Amino acid sequence: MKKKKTIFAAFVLLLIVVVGGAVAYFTDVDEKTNVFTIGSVNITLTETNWDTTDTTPANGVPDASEGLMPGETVAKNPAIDNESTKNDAYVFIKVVVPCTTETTPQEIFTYTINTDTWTELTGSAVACTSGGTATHVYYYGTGGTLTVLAKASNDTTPTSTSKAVFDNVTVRNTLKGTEGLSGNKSIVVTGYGIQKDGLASVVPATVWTYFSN
Amino acid sequence: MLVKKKLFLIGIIFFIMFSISGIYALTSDVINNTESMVSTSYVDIKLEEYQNGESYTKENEVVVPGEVVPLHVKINNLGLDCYVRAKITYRLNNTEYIESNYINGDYKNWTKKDDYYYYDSILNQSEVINLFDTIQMPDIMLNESFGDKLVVHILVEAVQAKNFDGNWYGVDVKKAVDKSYSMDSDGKSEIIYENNADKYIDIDDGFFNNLGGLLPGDNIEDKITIDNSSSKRIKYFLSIDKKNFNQEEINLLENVNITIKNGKGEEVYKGKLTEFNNLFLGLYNSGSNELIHFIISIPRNLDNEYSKIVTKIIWVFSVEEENSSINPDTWDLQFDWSIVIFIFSALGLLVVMILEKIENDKIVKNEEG
Repeated sequence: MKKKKTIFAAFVLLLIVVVGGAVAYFTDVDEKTNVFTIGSVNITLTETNWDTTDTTPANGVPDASEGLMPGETVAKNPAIDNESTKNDAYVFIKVVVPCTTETTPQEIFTYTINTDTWTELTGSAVACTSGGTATHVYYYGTGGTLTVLAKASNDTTPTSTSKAVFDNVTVRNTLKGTEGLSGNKSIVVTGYGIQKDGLASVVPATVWTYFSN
Repeated sequence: MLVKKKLFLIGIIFFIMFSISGIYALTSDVINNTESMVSTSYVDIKLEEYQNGESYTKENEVVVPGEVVPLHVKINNLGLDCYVRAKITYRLNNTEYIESNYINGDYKNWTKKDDYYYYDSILNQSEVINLFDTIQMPDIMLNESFGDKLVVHILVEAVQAKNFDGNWYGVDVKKAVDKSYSMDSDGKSEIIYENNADKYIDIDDGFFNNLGGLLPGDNIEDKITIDNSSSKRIKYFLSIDKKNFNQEEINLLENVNITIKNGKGEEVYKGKLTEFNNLFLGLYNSGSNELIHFIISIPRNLDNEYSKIVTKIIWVFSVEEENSSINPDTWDLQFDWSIVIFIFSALGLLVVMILEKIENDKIVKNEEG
């Protein structure tokens, strides 16, 4: 009896499905497929004048920048190569400088920006902390306008290079022996690039948010 | 000779008489003949995309992570009133993301349920509504996705608003039929009265004059009044003129049902519109005055194959006195009688002419002899 009920229930269910499936109306369907390509930029940071020779002693610190004294200058010219053959780019450089351990700390190294081609991004600087670092961001351009760093034209001319953001760094000459200069001090320079095309905004501060957020 | 001439004259008179009577039989019963079109409607929506006020046609637009691309997506209703729902998928390198995190629009008139956004109201004919306004690119780590493809797929489905019970489950949504069509048809039917049937039937403002833009699930009612003003009992009949239908029209009409009930509520007929001929509606006494109800039903299971069809329904009403010697079963049979009379008249005339010729030949031979 139970089996009969089960069969009957299955039959009713089948009937409902069949009847339900028979319902049709006048209909229409439309569709769109939108394909977006995430832009590609391939950049490298170069320092053509940075002497990396490390022989006396071979300790991981380039000889030319080892044992620097206050007021002494060493060649360092960071620039950006755009190696992409497809996309022009806007580029930025971030410089992180070590600071002294004074109550009012100072940046240990100074440099002079090549302001004819690079501009510090207003509001981006992070001031020194005692024994910490200071940060500066520079955009390739002037007067609030980004300069396009052209794509590499072809494989035989594989790069398109910006001018250097600065050419030398100097050890601040107001430093005193008690300000904790022992050990190695590093300036960290980082390059950023973003494709020129497709940006909703080309205001330097807005474009920088793609990297800072 | 005089007799033969008289016979010849009589033959001509008969010929003319029966010829005219035959033509009269062919035309005299057509009382009302008006242009008419019966049609099925359709659902037709168009998905449109705009950017900066212009149609969006870009392919492979280059974007950057986190970028917000203005893309105004709209649904334009080119057909009749309908319900719509939309499904949006957002894939980066075949990985599906939760689209609501990236698709931005004003959804106050939409309700999200499972994978679909359902528009809360009926989308009226010629109405355009907004689906969304911007697409944001994933805010992913730079360099990791350079060159990757982001695919945003938008699917919009529509179903007729009228007769739809709101249950999308099981609805087989198909693309609208692509052919030209005008929605202006008001759907008037044509009526032919035979044997002066119009004198014994009262039809106010036409019969089924609202068969334009029919939809699955439609039930359309109309009625006639039997008005036997004669002194005799009359039989009433109904036919559909099926001539000149193309295959598409036949396919549609074969799926249209009709129910006919007399004034007592008794079912006279229930079945396909195309499956009766010379249907007996009833025998009514002199002085009878009674309504006959008709219900035309379009089955719910008709799909787009039956949309955008324009056809013509010709209702043929005929009457017959109860003891008429003429079998009124078909209008064609009356026509056949006329033809028979016509043929006999022609044969009679031919015989007379042959006899005349033989007589003339004899006279000529006798004169020569």
